[in-house]
Amino acid sequence: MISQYLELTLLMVRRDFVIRYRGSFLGYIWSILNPLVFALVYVIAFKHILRIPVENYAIFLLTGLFPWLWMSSSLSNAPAGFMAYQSILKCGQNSPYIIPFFIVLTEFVNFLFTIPVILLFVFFSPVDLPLLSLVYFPVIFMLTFVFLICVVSVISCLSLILRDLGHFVQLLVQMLFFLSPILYPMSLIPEKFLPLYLLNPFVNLVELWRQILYSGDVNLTLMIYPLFFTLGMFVVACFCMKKIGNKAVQWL
Amino acid sequence: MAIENNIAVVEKAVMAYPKIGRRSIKDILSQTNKTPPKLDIQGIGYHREKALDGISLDIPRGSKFGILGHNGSGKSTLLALLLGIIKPNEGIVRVNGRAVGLLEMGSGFHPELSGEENILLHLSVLGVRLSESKALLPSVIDFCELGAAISYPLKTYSSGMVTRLAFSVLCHIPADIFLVDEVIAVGDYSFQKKCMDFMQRFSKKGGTIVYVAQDPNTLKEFCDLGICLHEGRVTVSGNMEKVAQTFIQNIENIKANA
Repeated sequence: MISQYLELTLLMVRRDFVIRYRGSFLGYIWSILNPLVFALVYVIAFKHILRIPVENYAIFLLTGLFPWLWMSSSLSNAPAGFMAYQSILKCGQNSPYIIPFFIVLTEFVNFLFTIPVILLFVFFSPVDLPLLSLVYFPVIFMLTFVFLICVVSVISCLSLILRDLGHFVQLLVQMLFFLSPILYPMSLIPEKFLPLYLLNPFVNLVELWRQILYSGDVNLTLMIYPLFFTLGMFVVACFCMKKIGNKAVQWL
Repeated sequence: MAIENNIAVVEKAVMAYPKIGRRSIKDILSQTNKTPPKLDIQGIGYHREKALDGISLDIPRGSKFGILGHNGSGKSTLLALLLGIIKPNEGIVRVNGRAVGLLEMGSGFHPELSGEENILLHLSVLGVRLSESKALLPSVIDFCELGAAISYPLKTYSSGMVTRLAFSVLCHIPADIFLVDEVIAVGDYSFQKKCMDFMQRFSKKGGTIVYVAQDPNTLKEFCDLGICLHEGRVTVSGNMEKVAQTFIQNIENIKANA
């Protein structure tokens, strides 16, 4: 059963990839080019115009931006998730629980494609890749993955009965982008706003990703808050899936 | 006892319409309908609150079972219940075996992928392992008789060609009960005949066929047992010939009254 779902997931992820780039001239390069151009704009705007005091700003940015893009695109694809994969449900064989996996994994593959870009930047700069800290990659990956699955499940289910949620999530993603330490280091946050700022679970996640990809000194205590957040979301996700996801076809 | 002879049993199943228009979460969770659709065309009721209203039926193992009814009489809802896509609000739906069928032919296909890619993907969606589906592929391609078009993207297909592909995939999946919607009528004559032949063979091997249609004559020819649905209720059931006759008579009556 599980291995069959695994196979289906791999096929669907591949399908989404094939479809996304079929017929386009540059093909897969788009999945690298798109974030890279964005990064370039941010480097100009925040390093050379706003002058954020960070050394090797380009790498600093990329190691935060690329994991963030995985998380944010998963969130923005969540509201339309059941709609996009409705054929999976409409033949009566499959459980709705697999749909969040499709969404999150497709975006993760996109993220994997961008990792060589980070490596390239590291190669041409004085910083070394923190090879040792990469052993934490699976741990941080699992945390982010489970976190995303839970959040995406909740958003997907709720947006079946509340169409407004789709618009709200787009706004939320925009806000969270600037409220997470992607463009700037956390040290720039004023002391008095810090407790409020840390309420955003993406702060810790982005920080963790940057630590294993860039700075090297991994602070595992940062995992505690996202872990508890995930736990809470897991309960909500189970409830939503049971109450709404299982009857998804009714609302499609 | 009766359960063992029947491959599918439906007992007093009720299926309410999802609420239309603005809905509050409270309404949805409690599944109440405040605004049932109001429409009435020539005595055919569209003004009911429930798509299926307390339906009971037994489908004997190995039978060819027909479901007859107007547009909006609840045929597709019943089919979705039997396929397990939706669960009844009340009552029981029990299927003792593997049901295979599609609500809308070709709904699982993607327009950008070629026919061949779509076959592989669709087999996987229907629960066939990748190793098996690769082995099945030549036979599916053979069955649908699409020739070179099999490697073109699906967006270049006509609706008849999509139906060919969908049916070919469907009939390669091991099943105990095969549910067919009337859509195979989209295919051309030779393919319709091929589908009918397949269903006869399937039936001879002991499989059960549930055939949903609006045309009483096709059903009369093909099925031995059946029911007629009207406004979400079973009006007649039993011998298909009798059911079809009553159905035709009802239409005549409605016409005469109008």
